[in-house]
Amino acid sequence: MTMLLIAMFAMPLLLAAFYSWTSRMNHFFFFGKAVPAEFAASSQAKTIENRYRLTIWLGCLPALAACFVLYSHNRFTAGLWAMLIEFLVFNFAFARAHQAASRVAPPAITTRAVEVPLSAPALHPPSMIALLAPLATGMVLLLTSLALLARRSSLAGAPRALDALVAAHGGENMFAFGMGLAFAGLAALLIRGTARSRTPLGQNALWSSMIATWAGVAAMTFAMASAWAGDTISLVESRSVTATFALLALGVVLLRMMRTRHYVPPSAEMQSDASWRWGLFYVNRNDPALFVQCRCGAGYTLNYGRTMAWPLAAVFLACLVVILVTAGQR
Amino acid sequence: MPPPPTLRIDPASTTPVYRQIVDGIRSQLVEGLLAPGNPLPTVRELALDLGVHFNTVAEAYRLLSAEGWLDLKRRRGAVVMERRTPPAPPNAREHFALRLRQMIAQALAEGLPAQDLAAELEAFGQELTNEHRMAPTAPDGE
Repeated sequence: MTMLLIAMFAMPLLLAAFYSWTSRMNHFFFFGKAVPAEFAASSQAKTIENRYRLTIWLGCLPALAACFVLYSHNRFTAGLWAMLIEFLVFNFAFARAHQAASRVAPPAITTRAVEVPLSAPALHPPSMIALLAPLATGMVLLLTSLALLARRSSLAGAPRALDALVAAHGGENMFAFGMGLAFAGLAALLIRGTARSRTPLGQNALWSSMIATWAGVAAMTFAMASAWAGDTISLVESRSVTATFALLALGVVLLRMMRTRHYVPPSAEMQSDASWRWGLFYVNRNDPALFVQCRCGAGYTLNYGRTMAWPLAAVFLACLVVILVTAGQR
Repeated sequence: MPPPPTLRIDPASTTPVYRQIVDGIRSQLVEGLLAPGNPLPTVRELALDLGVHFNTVAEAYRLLSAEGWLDLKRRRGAVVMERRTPPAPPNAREHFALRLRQMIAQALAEGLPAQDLAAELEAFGQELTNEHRMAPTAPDGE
């Protein structure tokens, strides 16, 4: 119980630390805007920056309060709600900082030229096949289990039977966790095929996703194998294995981030200020990329100028709503 | 150690982007920065990196392939090929001189000082002579 409580309160704090830290890694832009180097070092800029960081840590307070209230009402998703509140507060703070920077910063001298490497960079993102491997392995294992179960089970359907089998042996948490991590693999596949991934961010995000997907497949396999062997996994065992895999995946992400001092954006995205709305939303119909390096925090965001971006955003929002609304009570 | 080969395009230029890609890659090939056997990014990768349409890059690769520089492999990008220099057409030298004059006229009209142009041409001539001495290319059939 104490572990769960610590994890729930650690999540919002980790998110705040992430936003505070990554605002330093994105130093190629000043709150999503290309500004002259002199302005970025000026006292005006420091004021905007300090105000943003202060908002981040102050934004933690209502999120932690919400987390405490929801947790005391037995809501299992208290940590997620807190993170959602923080996400909204942090992005709002970023948009305000972006507007402040746009008002006072002189325009940066930019050229529209784009320069890209023709040879393979020293670090390279994993290939599509390497990303597909853990997903395919997980899918084969899952389908084999479903087929075997469908042959011998008298239950209504194989998926339900597998669910029941895994749940009966206490592995449902681990199985759900594995399925969740497998989505990292799907996201990585999408990014590898539709984003400029030959960048420091691309290397980190894709290698980390691949490792997270393997960890997810391992967790799913562990849960399924235990169920088939008839061994019941206790709640403590389930949480220990899940926490180990989660810490392993988080450790890889953090290690890779620490080794990269700055996320150098791709050349084509260096001078796309005009395509950014509030420094948060990228809209460019002429850009073939579906995902672009975001300027707030570290990661990728959708190019809303592409038609495919809208259904993807809708699916993501729907998943979020389903998890937040329907996730069970403690 | 030679600098790693890079491709630079200017989307705001009046020269079409596919032409800029062809010219840029051909320069690297002629200067030997891209050697036979070297792989180039796939059409998809290069188009994403440059932020241009896939067909633009595909067209540029097709032109370079037609010139004998690239071997296009389906889904695996392009690979630089060993290429023998074809014999020059009869009026190639006059055609080159005309194009050079046009380019010089354009540069002068844009305000570039004649001395700077002359220095640049002289440096380039020297570079070309040195390269030619180091790696003479035999015309086809010899």
